[in-house]
Amino acid sequence: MLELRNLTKTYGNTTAVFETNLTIEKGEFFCLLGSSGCGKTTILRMIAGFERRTGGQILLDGRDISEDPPYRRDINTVFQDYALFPNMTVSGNVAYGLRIKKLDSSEIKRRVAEALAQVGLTGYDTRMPDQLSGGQQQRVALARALVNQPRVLLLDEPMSALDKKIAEQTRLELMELQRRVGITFIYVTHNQTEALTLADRVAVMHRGVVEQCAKPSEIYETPKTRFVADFIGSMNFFDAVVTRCETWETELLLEDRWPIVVEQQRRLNPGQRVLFCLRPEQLKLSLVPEKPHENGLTGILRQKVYEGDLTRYVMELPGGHMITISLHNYLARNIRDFFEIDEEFMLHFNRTQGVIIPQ
Amino acid sequence: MRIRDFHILIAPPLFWLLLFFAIPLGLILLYSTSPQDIHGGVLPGFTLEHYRRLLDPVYVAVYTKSCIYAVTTTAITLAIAYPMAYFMAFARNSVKMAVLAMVMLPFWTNFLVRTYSFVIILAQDGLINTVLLKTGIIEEPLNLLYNTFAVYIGFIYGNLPFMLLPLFAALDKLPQSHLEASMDLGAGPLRTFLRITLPASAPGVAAGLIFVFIPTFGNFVVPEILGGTENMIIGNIISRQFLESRNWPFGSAMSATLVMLMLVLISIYIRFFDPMNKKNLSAA
Repeated sequence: MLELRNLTKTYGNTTAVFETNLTIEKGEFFCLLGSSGCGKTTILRMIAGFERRTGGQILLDGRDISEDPPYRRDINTVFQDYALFPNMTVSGNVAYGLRIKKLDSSEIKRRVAEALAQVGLTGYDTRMPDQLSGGQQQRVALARALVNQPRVLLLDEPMSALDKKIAEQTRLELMELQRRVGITFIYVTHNQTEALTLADRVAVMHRGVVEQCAKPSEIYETPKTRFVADFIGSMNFFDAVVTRCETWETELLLEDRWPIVVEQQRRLNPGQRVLFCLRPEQLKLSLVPEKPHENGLTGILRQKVYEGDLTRYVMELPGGHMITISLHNYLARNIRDFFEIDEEFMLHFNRTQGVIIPQ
Repeated sequence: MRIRDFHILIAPPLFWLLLFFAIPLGLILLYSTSPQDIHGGVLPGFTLEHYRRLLDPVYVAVYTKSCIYAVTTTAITLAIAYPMAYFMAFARNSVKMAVLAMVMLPFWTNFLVRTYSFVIILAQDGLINTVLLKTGIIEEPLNLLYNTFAVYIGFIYGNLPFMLLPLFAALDKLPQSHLEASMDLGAGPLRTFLRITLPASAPGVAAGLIFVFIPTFGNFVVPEILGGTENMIIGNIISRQFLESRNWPFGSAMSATLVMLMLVLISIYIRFFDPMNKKNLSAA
């Protein structure tokens, strides 16, 4: 178990990481997600020991390791640029950590072969790093770290240099591998698809602070802050005021214009300002008025973009508010042609849907 | 158009090399096998007597001494330049540029002038002695000039940039992440240095060694200006053969031997460090 307690890092006047508290369970696949400069890499480098913390503690299985140099931590890293040693062969690279530990050569040989087999590079032992493709180099970097059987494996944007198809393939293999070896993975990325598909839990970071730390489905379906709602996927936002609130039903006035009913268990006060968020796929275009379990708005269709699996529509509501709607082409194939640009249509969404974020 | 059609482009440098390199070198080889004209110059004919004379213990001793000077200078320069280059390579960019500028700046002054400036610094009434005497650290002025010490000072000072720059170039290319990866895999600072940094800087070290060793071996200006009579090395003897003894063939034989020695060393360097990346070129 890895614990970060009030972990802080400042460079001069700028705060890279501010009082971060995280607990990462043994065997968990944990993701730090955020745009560049949010502090995620700084956290990773502090865990690895490359960066000294300004404040707080890092505990590995209960022991404070924050003062240990990197070579005394039972933690290994897969670097963003792979950092393979160019003057050593593939097996030389993988054996590096074991040789430092002075294991006997038959043991080293066995474990190197095992690690290379794990990443599917059996037979590449004598290649030099510059004779490998990017994807293969990435696997060598992974094998070089895993062969030491660390308690925690850190991965610093390991797929950012791979092209899309290979990254997708590698993603599946990485999940499989992590499940097999059972080592705690901490994976840093700016790519939300990677984070959502790979991780058991995701911490979304913004300006040195963890905005939300939860399971991927929770991050996507019930974002806790405006940043998370905006950063993950696409989202439509409405400023709203609570007009009435009962245990299972809340009435909101969106943008001082449209009253709606949200059927969710919430405790809010009338008059309170909130943010109401709707995913494009939660919205439906329609020619007929809404049903009793739905909310309905009216607007003019302004844009229609075909994207293969779905079609994305942009609708303008009175007052100039732009809303994005995405409809699945398979489900809405027949009615797609009815929705013509610059015509007025209805916009429906279920009363149970949408996220209320108190301001 | 094929690359072959552009071979004409090589003509100007080829002409230059012929005129200022191949022809003079050929002349030296020719002179070295010609009989001596006692009024200077050479007589027609062929002889290996000058090369035979080189085996005289006096000259073998001079070659040995030159070699010792060159090796010692190269070693000390490497010991000074390596930490400097390491510091520069991992310093902030502004610091890097400032140090680089300080290293390059003296090149704007003539080498002879810079060497003479050491006379002013090291003399009995020079800068160092004056300061030490005035502050009472010493009572008698130190003998710093016209001895082996002064020659080494001159050699090391003059050669430092030639060692520093290739080392810096090699270390600057070493990504920080390689050092971090080594530490991450359990290697402490010393082992990281020996296994990662040193191999990465090897081409720079080799270039620096050649750049310092070769000019020092044949140098005659520094011992002439800063050395005493016992500091004569091969370069001084050669210059003396041409200017004072008027024995051009013998001077040429010494020069030719020196050039051949250098060729051997450079071949070894190219063989081991592949500075022009021939292996990759032929593989491609």
